[in-house]
Amino acid sequence: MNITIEDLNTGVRKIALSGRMDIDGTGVIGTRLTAAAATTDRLSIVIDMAGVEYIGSLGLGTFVAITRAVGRRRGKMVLFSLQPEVAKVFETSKMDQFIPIVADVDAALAAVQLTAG
Amino acid sequence: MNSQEATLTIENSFDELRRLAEWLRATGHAFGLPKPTIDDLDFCSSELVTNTISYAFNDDVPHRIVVRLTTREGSSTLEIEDDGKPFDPSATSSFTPPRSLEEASIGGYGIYLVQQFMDELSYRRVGNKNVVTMRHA
Repeated sequence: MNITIEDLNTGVRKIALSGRMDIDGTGVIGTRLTAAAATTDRLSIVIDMAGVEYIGSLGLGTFVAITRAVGRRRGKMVLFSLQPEVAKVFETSKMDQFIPIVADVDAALAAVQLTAG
Repeated sequence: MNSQEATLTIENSFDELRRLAEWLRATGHAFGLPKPTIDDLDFCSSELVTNTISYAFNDDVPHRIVVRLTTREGSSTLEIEDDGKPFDPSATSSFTPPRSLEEASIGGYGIYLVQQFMDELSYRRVGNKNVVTMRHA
């Protein structure tokens, strides 16, 4: 898996993930993703999921943990551009009720900027 | 009656998950399955094989896991066979949807999701082998 981190001048941190978020992929990017999203001064995080072809139980659990950590810091994190099967995993597990998911980057930026701070 | 069948044998190593996914996607495509079906089969085989590799074996000897994809009359059947400890995924799921994020578990979604994504999930123990059969309409 790959992870790229971009700090926008609006104060929002944009993280892009790509690859298979299986046990190996989650192992490769899990620590960096957690650090980039949950242990940062940035309180508005948007995550581009367009390149994520697969997410398994472990990947889902990683997002549960990160969302919880971001929430404790009163930050806001939104996922966007999920592929259909990845979206289905979040929906079927009901995690989409707790982990904000929107259609595209504009909706994601609007969501974190409206509610941050 | 048109039927197609393909089999892949992998070892109980996480490195093999990539090969499993690539094989399943290529085979599903060659069999003419729609992408959402291939995606579901990919999800379910990866989850169950990950569980098998993680929990089924107590020794350090290589074990073989056999995955067989069959299509017949518009439905797909995926069979996974291993010689690990007996484990019946069709009878197991402790998952109940959480009421809050704080209550949500960071694991344990795999088998529940497999049960939801597949139309049938069955298990049998044959000799020293686990055989899990999943059907996707």
